[in-house]
Amino acid sequence: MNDMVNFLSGLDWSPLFISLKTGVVATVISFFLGIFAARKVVKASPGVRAVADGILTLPMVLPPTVAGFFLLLIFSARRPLGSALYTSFGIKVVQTWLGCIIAATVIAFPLMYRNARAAFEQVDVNLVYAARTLGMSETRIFWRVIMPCAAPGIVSGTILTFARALGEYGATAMLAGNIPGKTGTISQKIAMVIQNGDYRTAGFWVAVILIIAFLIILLMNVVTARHMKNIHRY
Amino acid sequence: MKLHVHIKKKISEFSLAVDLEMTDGLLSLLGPSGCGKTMTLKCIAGIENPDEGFIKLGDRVLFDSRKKICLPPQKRRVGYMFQDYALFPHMTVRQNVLAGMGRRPDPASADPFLERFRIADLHDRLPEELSGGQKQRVAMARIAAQDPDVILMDEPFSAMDTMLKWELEQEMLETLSEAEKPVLFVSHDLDEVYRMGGNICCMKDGKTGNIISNEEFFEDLKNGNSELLPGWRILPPER
Repeated sequence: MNDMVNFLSGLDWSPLFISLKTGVVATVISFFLGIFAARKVVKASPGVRAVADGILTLPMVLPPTVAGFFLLLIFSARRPLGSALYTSFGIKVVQTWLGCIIAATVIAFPLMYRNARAAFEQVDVNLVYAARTLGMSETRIFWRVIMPCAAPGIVSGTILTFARALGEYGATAMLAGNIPGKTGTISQKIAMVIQNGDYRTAGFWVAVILIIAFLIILLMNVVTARHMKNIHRY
Repeated sequence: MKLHVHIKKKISEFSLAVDLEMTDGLLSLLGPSGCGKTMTLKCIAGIENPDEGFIKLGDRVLFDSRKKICLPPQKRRVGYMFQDYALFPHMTVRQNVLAGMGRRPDPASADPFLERFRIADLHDRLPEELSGGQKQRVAMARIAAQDPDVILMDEPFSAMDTMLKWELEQEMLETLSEAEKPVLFVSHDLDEVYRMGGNICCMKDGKTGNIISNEEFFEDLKNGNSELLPGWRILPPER
């Protein structure tokens, strides 16, 4: 018991906060970008749609290290864009918290985008037509008709995006590195302490992740169950 | 108010050629499924655009391919009743009725329409909690509240059982006769068109025929002279 108290009081809690902060910021960015991209893709012509959809979904299918490789190519201080960002704006992406956010956003974005797209595509088009004949402006239709009808899909997309961003490892490790207290997320912490054979600390963070993941799934089920209450299924 | 529709539209193999002129009162657009009835309504409402021709409602031009006029559906003042009513599933009955009454309508302004269509006690229900007939009344109330210049109805009874259908037809006839507007009613059902009365325009393979009175149409049909259904006869009553 005393052992446990000692362990907890001596624990560095920073990975939890870094992970949560990264997850929240990446989810907010993905939320808006994903919805925006989904709207554009749904409206685009079939040819454009196929190509755009492929590019936007790619980070979900690729190993995160491949995405990390490309992110390094773009943002490395030895590359044109990376050095331009640093010299003109003082913005550094590699080995910073900003790198954590960018890596998590790139990896988690497709989940938001695909869920939002699926949600938009199942909105009954007659509702949009009806809203138009009733004189509602296109902006108003988006906020008052399309978004509420797509809400269950968008909410579950947001939750999945958060879950993915929270646990991001591969791309984050490459772009942001593992600087304790700065870019050291929970998943990186687990990998690091395991290398030192510290199973107790690793186990603690594994338990934290398990609890968060379970809560997320629970939340998803609550959201979808509310939506499904009037649909009788096999 | 007069509605003029003279439009052409090509959709891959199918070509639509509509010539319609009507005044206040009911006109049934009768034809088999896939003959272009719904497309005609959609063109009038501005949901789809014709390739050429013009649509005029009263003295307002809704569409004119030569003058490059094409009003958006929002500006056409057309009431469109969808086959499945297209009630907004997340809005209450009252909110649905208010949807066509401008940007920030006073919630109480829906009351007269809720009363008139006998849905006042359902005002805080969601569409999924309503029966088919109640949904239809909400859709009618929503259109009435919108105060359109013309009402288009796309097979509003197709999803209903016979008993309910008959009752609702009577109900709708009453409402529509009060409306004093052109009402274009699309149907593929002879019985329905017969009971609704009003003039009839037949449609076949995307082309509209002449507008004739209900009596004339069924007289022709009885004698087997129908343009729409050559050789088709209504069974004699003595059977």
